[in-house]
Amino acid sequence: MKEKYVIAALKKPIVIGIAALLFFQMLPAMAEDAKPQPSKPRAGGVTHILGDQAFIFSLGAAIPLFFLRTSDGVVEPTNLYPGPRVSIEYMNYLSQSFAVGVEVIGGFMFSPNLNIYFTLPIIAKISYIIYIDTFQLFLNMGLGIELEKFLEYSHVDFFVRPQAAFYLNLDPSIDLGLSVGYWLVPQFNTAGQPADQTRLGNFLDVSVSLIYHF
Amino acid sequence: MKLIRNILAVCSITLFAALALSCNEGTNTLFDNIINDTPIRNNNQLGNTANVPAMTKIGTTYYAAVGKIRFRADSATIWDSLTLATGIHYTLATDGANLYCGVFDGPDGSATGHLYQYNPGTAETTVVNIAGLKSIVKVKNFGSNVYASYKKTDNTYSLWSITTGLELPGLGALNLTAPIVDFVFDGVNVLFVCGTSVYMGSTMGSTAFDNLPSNPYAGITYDTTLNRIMVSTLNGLIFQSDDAVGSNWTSYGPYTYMRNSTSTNAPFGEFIMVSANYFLVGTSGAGFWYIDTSSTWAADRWNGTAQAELYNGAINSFYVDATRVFFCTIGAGLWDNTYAAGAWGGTWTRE
Repeated sequence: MKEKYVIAALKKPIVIGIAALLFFQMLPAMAEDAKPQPSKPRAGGVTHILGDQAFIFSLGAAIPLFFLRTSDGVVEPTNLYPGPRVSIEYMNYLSQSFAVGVEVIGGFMFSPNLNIYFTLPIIAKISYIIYIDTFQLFLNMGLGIELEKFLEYSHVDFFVRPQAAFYLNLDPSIDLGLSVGYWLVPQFNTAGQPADQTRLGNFLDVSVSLIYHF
Repeated sequence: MKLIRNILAVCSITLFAALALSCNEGTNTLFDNIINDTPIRNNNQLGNTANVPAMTKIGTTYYAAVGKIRFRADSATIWDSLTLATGIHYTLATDGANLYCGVFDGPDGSATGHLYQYNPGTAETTVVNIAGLKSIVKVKNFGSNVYASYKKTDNTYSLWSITTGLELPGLGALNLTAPIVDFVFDGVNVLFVCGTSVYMGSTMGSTAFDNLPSNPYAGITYDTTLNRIMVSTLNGLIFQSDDAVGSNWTSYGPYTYMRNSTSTNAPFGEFIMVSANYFLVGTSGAGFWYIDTSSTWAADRWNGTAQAELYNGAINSFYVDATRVFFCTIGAGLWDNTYAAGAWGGTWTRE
């Protein structure tokens, strides 16, 4: 009986996450079918056009900020210490200024008893890119699901991450930059769990990133 | 290219679905478990996986049975060792001046054993003479009254009063064939659980409560506030009498908990009263449960899932020292925390 409730509770993040991922996976295919539009050459940097692809590798830290208990608005400390996070993203340009991608992030943080909170967000991402000479400012919005594990328990939540990344163009195929993102993780209680345990998790994500264009 | 993308899409959807459906949900949310993962002082003195069947205190010194005896001052953190005899030291009690310890001579249940008396003041150890003793099941004290549950050489079971130096009157005639796994002295009578029955022993002899159904009884206590008897069973039941002599009983439960997505009856064991109307009952595998006899009488499982080894632990016995409660576990060491005004302290200690 409980399994039924758990599956029902998981349906929302799973369905929305999968729909978002499918949508973004379809975009490059749609792009292939569309006729590439010539972009205006950009001074001091490489011009990207529809269909250009890239991988982004990131290494940094996940910094727990606070939990917000939604039943009464109480802000609680997370009881976690910052931990490392790595990620890999596949990105596809829609135009000079827009790109979409899929990113997988892996990280962990420690509790005071050195128990480990593992996190694996998988997100679909859309980016708006502003070019400033040889620099690029990426304004990203990611939406997806987060697989989590702590002690013997595992769970799946929604995951939302606004992010800003600033890159320096090193050569035509490599950009190096710094990213700062904010993780919002709403965690709803499932059937059998107390209703006042629904919380919004807040984390900061700081990383050094490298874009490889191909 | 499209084919590869479609294959990747199917694979990723399958992976997400598999990961999601394999979620292991606890009784609390994941974030709640993280918040409550409060510090455990873990200097590993007794070992994180130690079997600690029992503990007691004499004066200002704690004693724990962990195969041998370990002891420390209540103001210290270092545990010293004490061995009374060759064999496994597994059950402890005190009359206030002496330590009583049951020791198995060998590692298996068929082995013989003895009850030893140790005086910390003189460091003198003597064997307690119990007529017909084969081995000790358990020793407990109620104030300065010490009783030992024991197996006889004829393979029957009985209770011995250390204070009087006698077997409980009439108990030998019952020829009990199951161990007396728990007992309590209410100041007048000795109440005990044996196999599927609960008995009351007095100077007039011992008789079973025939108004209780047959159950695998495991624990018994006496509520000194309400003057009632409580018994627990291995199949998740709690019985409460409506008077001091068990004229009528009320059944509660079965209390269940989720384990590996299966509803399981809580395998209850020993009780402890931590304050008036407030009892804990141990289990073998589901930590400990609360019972508030002043209100609903419902048993609720302690929700400290972050202390996973205690939460899922087998708690053989408890010891209460003023506001500090000790949890003697099988396989997960000795835990303690303070308890006051309905709340546990912030630090769970594993000795």
